[in-house]
Amino acid sequence: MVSIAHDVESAHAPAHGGHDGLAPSVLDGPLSAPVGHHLPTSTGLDSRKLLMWLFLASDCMFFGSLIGTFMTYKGRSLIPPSPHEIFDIPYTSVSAFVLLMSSLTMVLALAAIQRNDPVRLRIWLIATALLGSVFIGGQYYEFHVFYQEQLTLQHSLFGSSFFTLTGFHGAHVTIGIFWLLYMTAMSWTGRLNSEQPLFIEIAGLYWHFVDIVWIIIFTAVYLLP
Amino acid sequence: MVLDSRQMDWGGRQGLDSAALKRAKVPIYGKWYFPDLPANEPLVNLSTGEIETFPPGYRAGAVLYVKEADLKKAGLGPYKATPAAAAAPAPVTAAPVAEPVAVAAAPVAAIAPRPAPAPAVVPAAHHEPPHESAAHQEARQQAAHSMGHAAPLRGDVVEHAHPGARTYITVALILAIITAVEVAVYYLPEVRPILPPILFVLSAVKFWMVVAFFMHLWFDHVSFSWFFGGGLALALTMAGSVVLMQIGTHGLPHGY
Repeated sequence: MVSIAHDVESAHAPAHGGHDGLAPSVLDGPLSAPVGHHLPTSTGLDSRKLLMWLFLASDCMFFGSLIGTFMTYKGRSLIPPSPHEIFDIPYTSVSAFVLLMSSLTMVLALAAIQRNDPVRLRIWLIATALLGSVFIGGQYYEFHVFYQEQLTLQHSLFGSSFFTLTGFHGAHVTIGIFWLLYMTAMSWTGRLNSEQPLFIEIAGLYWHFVDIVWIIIFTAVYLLP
Repeated sequence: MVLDSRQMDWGGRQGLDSAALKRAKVPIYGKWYFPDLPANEPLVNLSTGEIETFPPGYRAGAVLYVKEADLKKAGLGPYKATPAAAAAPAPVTAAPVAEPVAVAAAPVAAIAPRPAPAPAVVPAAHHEPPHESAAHQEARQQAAHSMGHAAPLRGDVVEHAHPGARTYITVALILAIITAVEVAVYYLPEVRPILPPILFVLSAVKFWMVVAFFMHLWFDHVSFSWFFGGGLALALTMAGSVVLMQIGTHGLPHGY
């Protein structure tokens, strides 16, 4: 048995050669680094993924400060309406469920690209973007109802801390939706293929992060008495 | 932790992963580690378990290798469980230096046979050392090129194999059930006094499940957990401090 025994499909793929930023090598596959150059990192980890995790860690602190502020002022607002008068828990529960399910579709999109299934990748990406849009639509409706109930950003401690926290979360979800649509377009135009699951994985990390932030917000803001 | 499950199929089955190899100070040869392959030295392909030898000047693609001697010395993989097997690969070690590519009968792989057949094998006719023919070289280069193709993107560190769709759906179902329980207990007057701790526990479980399974932190390199956990710990400390300072200064709000 000869030792180098691997699939040879890539032999028909367009050659790029020498992707490492170093001298081309026989063992440098033509698609081993199709998007730019790679230098082995000192950590052995992909720097882009590491960067995303570091960003999420910093975003944890950002949302931590907002949630901390909300909790600090919780129950101290003297001007009605109070949270329990205005929150519609069943409605928000459905929103929370929708966002949770969008995490499922996101991770199924990652599984699809890892299986080299571009059709399902696009389906799951669009499903995720749609569920995210439903969530944002629900949040817009909720904000609209609150405004009608005279609860505004400037109205009270509760209004300021609530709209700042949930508004920033909504902005994160909106950015995520555009990111997912961009990934879908990339897949459609052939610029995203099974060789690049990391792009979807990084977008997924961001998406799941907005989901876990909502898990905390849903509990701390809506359910906690 | 396995750098990439697809590149460490055999290694994973042998209980080998990059963390274990690093702990044992076994150098890993692959484009994310040491890209230059040591010449004329039996290397274990962690994807297939085969023993391979390369002439000078070769660099690794996505497939990971370790020196067979290092593996033996560290007593890892097949050399840990079956001491007798450790002696088996001796013929490969004795392969002539002039042999450009090792053609060993994969003694390590024989200890733990690979379930899936190799997708493509360079024809046996290529066993014509000491000098490679042009055709041999081309075929080997084609096969070698495919090493990169089978791999994920550069540094696409996915660590252990990600869970499958069934696991994801199961996790999502559990998350949905926990959410339903959260809402249900919210409406139960009997549990009102202990509602906060119940909600904290339930949301913590949801948080952990999404991070561990959907964000794959459970399966990824431990460094990611440290970075994210560090940010999370800082966030909790900050939020907790602010709330406690407020309570310390102004007392509990009305109704508490």
